[in-house]
Amino acid sequence: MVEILTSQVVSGLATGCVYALIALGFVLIFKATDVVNFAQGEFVMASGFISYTLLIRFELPYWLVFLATIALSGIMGVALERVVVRPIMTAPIFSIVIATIGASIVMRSSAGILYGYDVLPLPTIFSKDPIHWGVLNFTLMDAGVIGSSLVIMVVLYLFFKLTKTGTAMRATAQSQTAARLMGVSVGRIFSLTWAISAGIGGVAGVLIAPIIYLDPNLGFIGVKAFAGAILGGFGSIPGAIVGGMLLGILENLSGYFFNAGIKQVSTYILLILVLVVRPGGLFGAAPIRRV
Amino acid sequence: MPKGDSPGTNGAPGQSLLTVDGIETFYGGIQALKGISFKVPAGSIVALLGANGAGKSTTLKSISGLVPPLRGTVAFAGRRIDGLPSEKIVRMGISHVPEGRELFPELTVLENLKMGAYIRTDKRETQRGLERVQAHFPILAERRSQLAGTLSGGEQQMLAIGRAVMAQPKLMLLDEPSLGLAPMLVEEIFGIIGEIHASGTTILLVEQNANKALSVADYGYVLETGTISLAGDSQQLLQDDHVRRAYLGHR
Amino acid sequence: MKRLLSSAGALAGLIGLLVVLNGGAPTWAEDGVTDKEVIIGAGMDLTGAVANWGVNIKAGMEAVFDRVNDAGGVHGRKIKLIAYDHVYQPPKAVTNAKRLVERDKVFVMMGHLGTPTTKAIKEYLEEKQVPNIFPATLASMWTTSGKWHVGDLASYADQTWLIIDYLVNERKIKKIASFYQDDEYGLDGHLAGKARLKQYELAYVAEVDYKRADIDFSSQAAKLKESGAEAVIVQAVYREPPRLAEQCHAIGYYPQFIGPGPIVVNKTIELGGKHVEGLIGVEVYPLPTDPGPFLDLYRADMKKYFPGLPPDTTNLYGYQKAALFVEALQRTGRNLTRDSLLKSIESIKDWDPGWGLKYSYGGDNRRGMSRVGRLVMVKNGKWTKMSQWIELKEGGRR
Repeated sequence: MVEILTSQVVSGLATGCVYALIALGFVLIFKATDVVNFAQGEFVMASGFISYTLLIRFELPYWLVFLATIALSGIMGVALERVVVRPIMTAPIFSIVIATIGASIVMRSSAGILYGYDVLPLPTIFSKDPIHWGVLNFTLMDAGVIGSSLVIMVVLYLFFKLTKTGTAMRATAQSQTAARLMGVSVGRIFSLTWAISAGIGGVAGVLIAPIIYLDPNLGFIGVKAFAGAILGGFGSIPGAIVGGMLLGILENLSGYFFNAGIKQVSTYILLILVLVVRPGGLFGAAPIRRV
Repeated sequence: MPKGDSPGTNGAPGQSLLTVDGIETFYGGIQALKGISFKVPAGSIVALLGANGAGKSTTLKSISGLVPPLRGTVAFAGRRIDGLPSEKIVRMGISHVPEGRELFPELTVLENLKMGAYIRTDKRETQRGLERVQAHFPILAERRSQLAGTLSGGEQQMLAIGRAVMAQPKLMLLDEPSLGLAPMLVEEIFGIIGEIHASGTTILLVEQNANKALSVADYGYVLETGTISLAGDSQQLLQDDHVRRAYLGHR
Repeated sequence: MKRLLSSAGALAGLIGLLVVLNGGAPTWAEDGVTDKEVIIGAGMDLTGAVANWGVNIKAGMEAVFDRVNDAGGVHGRKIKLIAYDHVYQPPKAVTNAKRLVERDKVFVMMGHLGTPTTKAIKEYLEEKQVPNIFPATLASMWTTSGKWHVGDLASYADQTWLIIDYLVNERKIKKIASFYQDDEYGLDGHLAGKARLKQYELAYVAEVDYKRADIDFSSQAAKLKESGAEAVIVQAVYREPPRLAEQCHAIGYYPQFIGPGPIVVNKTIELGGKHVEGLIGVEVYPLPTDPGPFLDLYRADMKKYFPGLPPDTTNLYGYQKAALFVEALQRTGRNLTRDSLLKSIESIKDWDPGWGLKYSYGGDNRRGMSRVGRLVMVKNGKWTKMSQWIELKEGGRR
């Protein structure tokens, strides 16, 4: 019983880490630019296909593919910001959000046209064989996903906390006017934010695609991650991380204690309960300003 | 660091550092500035006086590029800067301490100060600047790891000015530094403004507290509904009947 | 007299001309049927969770139609298939069916994919009296739903009976669990299995469900492990068995996985790798690699018309449907109506397209190649025959 429960929590945490990474992408862009980017999940899907192409068609080594995918995903993020979002930055926020939804449909369809809608297996270096550590039951895959996610989160934390550019990004999120007066190019910060968000989405893609298989609809995982971000308090970085992880674990446990139907809606039940008690989410101080 | 960048080498005193010529600035469809011209000589303190809504803050924003003027020119150290984005203008040596201070509330005091030196690439120079600012404002040294949003009003004003000093500007634009502060703090702030000026920074000061402003300024300009209605050196303005009645509280 | 004759001749000529003109554009009573064409419709999953099935079934059917059309069609009519993507979502299937019936005026629905999606349009088709021919779902409901629905192969219920009989009698396994898709598809086999177990005085030791788009089964794996089941029947498609096996193996649980036809796809092996070694499936038609003239023709047609799609159980499934449909059209002749088509299908008895298995209809048998099946197992990354064709017992829900 204990063994089974711990294995449920560990594998839920692995999925939750991926939710957390995607949620982080949502929150970073929102904090910096007030835009909710509904194409966030598509970065996950697109990087799955990018790494598939590099691994299978170009037969590049895994670690190179991992890094190249993150970089290419980042470039994709900048492109999306420059081509879709920036030209309409002065439009009402609602229009921008709709534009990101449009972009997500275009990305999904493009993947379908290029690769077809069939599911593809994406290789990974992490083995799916079981490992037993006392009461802990997990796979190297789970450990790899959790470990990689945590490393990315720590690197991001250090980047935002310790580097000049990272501090400038936080500053810009708090006051664009003041940032400009300090000599910060807000446009460049926006691009960088999109690059980082898409890059993290890329990491999520490389980690999750081998687990849940690769197809053009993979981006719908973004919906869960978005729920995770709201659960944690939309706009809060620790909130996105904790919210995403909690969601992954809760999903697994509700599936275990109840059935697939409850599992499917458990996310939203929890979301509603939390929002009733704390309208700003777990870590949010105040309700969201605008969406 | 290039020679011309350091404060105190702004050219000979009396030579115009900033020349504003006939600027007209609009907010949406509303004209806030209706052709304003004035000069800020290098090494001086110039005060812009006027009632609420006269266009004082807008004048500063027009200079720093936050709200670019539609017509007219702004020249700084002999180069036109109107139309340039704020982030370029600050790199040329103009630091703007805006109304409402615009601190980064969720960054620490130290991080706010470091953001002030964002355009500086020399780390050791930035470190020396930090020491200088903390010497000016010992309270900021004390509160260095506190979030800016948790500071008192006076401390926030000090941080805003300190942050601007970190950029080592040739010209500092100060918008209502005394606003909302207790009289003792106002004295302290103006003392610090004097120190900054003494270290070689030219200052353009917007104030409602005309008495205080003219006591430190070399020159003053009076704005009324988007135009300059009166100009002169501080002593002259302090004696002017209209100024005394309208801005100094004399009847 | 001469005048009269010539007038009569002219009149006859006029009548003849009218007949010819009228005959050139006869008005047919049925939608979708003209002198030169018969238009049929299908709802497919081309971009969703079972797109591998959808894309391949459509191609398999079109391979037959393309060959027949290249040779001039059936009784002078070319077959045109209009297929829309319902993404394996019942509401979209309804929209597509209305579009096909009301706008495109299709003659029949042919090879409509998916149990929940076809169930969603069942009543609509009955109301519009559009035959539902050989839907790409082997749920037992298509064998018991009356006039407008005609199936082609043994149902999931029949197949599940074969599975239970094999597990209980040959493998002597009594701890059997069910992992099923929570909809009309998964329930068909799940409930039939339950009924069959009861006859052995047994019951599932665990019943765990999943939703159509789910892809994480760690909680299901945990429950199955706890139940101690030695065999798990997977009433699923091709994405779930590999993932479930993986997640069971991750917690050190290695039961016998076994399931009905929809899992017998190369994709299952491609996705699962070593985790699906030993997976057993039920087959109700030959493997694409088997010998025989019909399968030779199938391989040649696929190579000619869809060179990008390798032979697979999925496209063979569509191919045999289309071949059976063409046979029914042949039997119907020029006078093609919905009623006459249904009658010709019912007239098919012991018809073998050339692969050693026979289709038979008649009476209330709307299954076609009823009651045959065999077991196949993944061995060294390939679906491999385990048994000969077996007569199936009728496990359909009534």
